[in-house]
Amino acid sequence: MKYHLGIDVGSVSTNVVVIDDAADVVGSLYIRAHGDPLGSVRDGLARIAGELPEGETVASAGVTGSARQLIGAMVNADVVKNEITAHAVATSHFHPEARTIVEIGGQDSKIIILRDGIVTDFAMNNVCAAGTGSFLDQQATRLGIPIEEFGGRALESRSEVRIAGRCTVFAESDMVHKQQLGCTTNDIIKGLCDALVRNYLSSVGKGKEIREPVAFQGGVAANVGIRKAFEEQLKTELVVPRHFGVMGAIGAAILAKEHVARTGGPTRFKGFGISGCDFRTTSLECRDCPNACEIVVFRQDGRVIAMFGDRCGKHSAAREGA
Amino acid sequence: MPFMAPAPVTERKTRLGIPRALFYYAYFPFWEVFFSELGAEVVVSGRTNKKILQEGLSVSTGELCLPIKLLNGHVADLVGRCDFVFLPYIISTQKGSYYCPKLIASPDIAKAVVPGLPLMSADVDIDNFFTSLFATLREVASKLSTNPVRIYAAFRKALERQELFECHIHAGALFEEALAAARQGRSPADDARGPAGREGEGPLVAVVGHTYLFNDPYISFDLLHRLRERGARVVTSDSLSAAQVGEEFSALEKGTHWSLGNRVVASVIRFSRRRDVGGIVYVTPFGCSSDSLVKEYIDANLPERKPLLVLTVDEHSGDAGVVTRLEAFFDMIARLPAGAG
Repeated sequence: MKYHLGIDVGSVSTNVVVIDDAADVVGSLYIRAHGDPLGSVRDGLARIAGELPEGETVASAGVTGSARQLIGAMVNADVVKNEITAHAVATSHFHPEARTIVEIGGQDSKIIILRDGIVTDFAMNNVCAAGTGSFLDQQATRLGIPIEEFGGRALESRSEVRIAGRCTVFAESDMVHKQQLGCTTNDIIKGLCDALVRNYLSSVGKGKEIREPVAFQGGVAANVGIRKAFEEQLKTELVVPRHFGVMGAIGAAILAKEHVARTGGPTRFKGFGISGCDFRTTSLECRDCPNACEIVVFRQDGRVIAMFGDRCGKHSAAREGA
Repeated sequence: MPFMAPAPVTERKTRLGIPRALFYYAYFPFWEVFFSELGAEVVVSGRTNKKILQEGLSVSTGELCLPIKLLNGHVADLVGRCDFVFLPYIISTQKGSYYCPKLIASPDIAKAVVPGLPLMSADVDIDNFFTSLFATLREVASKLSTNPVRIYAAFRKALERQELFECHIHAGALFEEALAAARQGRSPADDARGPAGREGEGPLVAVVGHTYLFNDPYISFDLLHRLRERGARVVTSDSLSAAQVGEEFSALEKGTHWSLGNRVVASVIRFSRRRDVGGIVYVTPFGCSSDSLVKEYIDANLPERKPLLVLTVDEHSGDAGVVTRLEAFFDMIARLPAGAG
């Protein structure tokens, strides 16, 4: 049996999974990154190595997520893919019947339209984080309720309270107002869940042909209140994949598995030993032209392994050749 | 004032500055020939870079859209390098459709943010574009020459260059390619195989939007180049002739009122009909009020369109969002069966 590593480095969490040849999940981790993608990946690699059978390593490694370029260079991934493709690949593996994917993560949300397992349309939220996990996180903190219990409280709501969800700032002032009117916390939480879903459907989901079955994944899929709100507004039951929180990482692992199967070659992955290495980034401003690009210099144990951020590509290309 | 006063008595040519922004991407071939023929030295602002963008952002008020801020940056770049900056008031180039108020007023906006700007201008608000353009430009040319024969000859030559440029554009060449070909006097028939990069096996991607956005590599995150780098062939909304835009609209109930918006809608319709087009990328500036209507118009009226990626460009310098969307879009159209969508 061969094993494949998948890493999804997002804005809020770092997810690490190991799957086997049949794409069954052998081990998975959901780590809060706290703004430190390198540290969280190092930590994740050290921990996931322990979940592999004695003496085994991985035959391929894939990376996705917004920090994929950096982490791809860090681990020497076989495949570095965008989140849309990774999520679509994972979902069509576990739920080939799915025709819509709703994915809500920490700071971004997306909708992917699938027909016969192929992505035919997609959209991501633009600049606003009002319809994402961090919005819920903030509001939960404001109400003094742990985020894990947040969704459950919405289900206990007895009457409807409407909260403006278009913008975090408006939502907050609306919430204070409703509290002062004497609305119960449960009703307000339900109102927030409805508002987030409304905002998602009218911004990210706008103009998209949402057909069932709809798969719901990403960290926010853990929230039963949001699930219920989606089911009410879409008038359909959602499919929540078993590994909903790490679907991107699974997709990256599947893509890596397919890649090495195609090339036949050994993996480029540096091995789990790198979790003991020292990874650092520094930045410098290139002065060769008026663009003044900010170049990120990435070092492993003091040796430069990658550079990026240059518009002209001369720094990043120089490293690739080295 | 940082400008040098025009010196009519010296033998030095009058230097005429043209900002590399907005209508530069549509009419520069004409302007270049017309003003050179009248004895001016045409100075174009530099290619958009961080410095020009920053300058534009710092002199402009926050409410202005990115293309106008960028124009101001290019105007500032010309300060001290020319005697006049040429900025026309282009209101309408076709009956019944208009440019956005910010574009129309762009010379006034530039004057407001760059005090003392010596402007050479022209009004374009016409049904018959080039005849009227000649009339309005005669006023402008009086700054350069008073000889009507010379002006008419310059106009003819400029028109010829512009027409040749547009032939290349309508044949599918990108701005720089068409400009180079027109300058060399080559006709599209001379380039039987088309300019390099348009041949290839990759999917055909249609890029639609305002010409000054996707033709500016800095502000569009090098979109056209990135697409070609991935093996795609690229066709843009510039390639539609005015007649083709009108044709597409004759089938619809009404247009969008905006010239640039109509071109986007017509392009989406036309490219959606073409079997060889894999998908459409719509480039729009953040906060563009006319485009906000155009997007709704497309969603409401064109259900049978090809996969459409809306790329919103802003003054953010990070390209991660654009790269992610483009990659995903590319994966998508590469896996779609030909002719689907």
